Amino acid sequence: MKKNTEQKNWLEWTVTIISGILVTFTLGFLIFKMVNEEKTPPDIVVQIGSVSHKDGGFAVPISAFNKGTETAQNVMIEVSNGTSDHEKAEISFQYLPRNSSVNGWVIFSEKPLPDSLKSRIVGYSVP
Amino acid sequence: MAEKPLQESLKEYGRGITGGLLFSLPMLYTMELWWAGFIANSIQLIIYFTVGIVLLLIYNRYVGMRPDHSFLEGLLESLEEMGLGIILTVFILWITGRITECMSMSEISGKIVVEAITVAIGISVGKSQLASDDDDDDDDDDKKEEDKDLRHPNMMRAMGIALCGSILVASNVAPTEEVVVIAMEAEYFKLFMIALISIGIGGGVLYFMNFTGTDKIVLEPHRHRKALFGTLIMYTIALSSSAFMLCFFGRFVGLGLDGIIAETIVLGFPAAIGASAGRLLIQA
Repeated sequence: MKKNTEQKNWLEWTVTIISGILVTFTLGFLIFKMVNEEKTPPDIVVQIGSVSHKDGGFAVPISAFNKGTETAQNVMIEVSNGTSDHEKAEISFQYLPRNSSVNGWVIFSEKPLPDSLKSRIVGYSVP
Repeated sequence: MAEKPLQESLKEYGRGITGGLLFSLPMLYTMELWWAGFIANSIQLIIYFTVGIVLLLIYNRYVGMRPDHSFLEGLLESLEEMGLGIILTVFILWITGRITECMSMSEISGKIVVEAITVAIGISVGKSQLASDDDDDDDDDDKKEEDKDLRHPNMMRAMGIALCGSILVASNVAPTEEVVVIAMEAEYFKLFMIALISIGIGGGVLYFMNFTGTDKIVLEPHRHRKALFGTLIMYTIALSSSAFMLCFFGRFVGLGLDGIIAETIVLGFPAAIGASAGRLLIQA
């Protein structure tokens, strides 16, 4: 049986070693995660960027970050501009995984006052 | 002992990667799979990953490699396939924009683990099954003789490969919403028919339809009790692997017993095709 007596060449050894490292690393990472993981419900922080004139209105970039270790689903965020007519804009994200962020834009028709933008997380579900 | 020629290794990896893509691209292109990666918790991922490596070991033990290889060789081979599976998964997920810099490591690793198992089994199948015959024609005569010993019916072997086949085929649909929808909407007699069809086709493939490889692998066709027994085992494997996958993908959460059974039967159909036809294809 020819095949069995053949030794691995350098390419096969390289692939095997890299693979071994990858697999060990993945498993190690998962175990590390499992040991250190506390289960905390989603905790969402919203950051509001600066206003620009586009999309036929006044667009504000927002970024939501989930500090918790559970994934939030169907996240609904409401942003209100501080003007007297209390214009509100809403945006929803389908998924916001743990320790991850998602980005989006909300658009107002009236120019918001720069320091009076307020965000509120309306709600989300947990998968 | 001669070193294996470089070209041959390259060809083997090429076949492996093709096999991996063949069996797992549908899965890599499925949204629920990307989500499963971050919805699953670490313990689930570790279990899934371990099961994947065990499946690779089983497959390499019985099909992928020569019968007289040592355990260490089998383990190295399995690690290699898993590693290639991870690399290929990362590449495909990255090129399709599923890995971006605003994701956390745990989300990315979850995605990769969930998809890499199927990719790795596909790679293993590709390496051993997609080779053309003249690729190792000098081994052919040996092989035929070995076949007689190795390929004769062996329960553990048959069950192991059936398990690989059913996971390979059914993991593409297991995480999708469609399984739940079908299960929730189907009437009981239709579910019953799905179960009957799974058993019928699976048993037929193994014992009646003269499928590739059945002559040397499967138990004699004229012995009805054995055929019945074999079909039963095939369907048991299909159902248990589909229950395992559904459980892993969180489809059982908050569900009553009849819901669980309905989903298992719905997914049991592709799993049974995998455990019968798939099994014969990947060990041909």
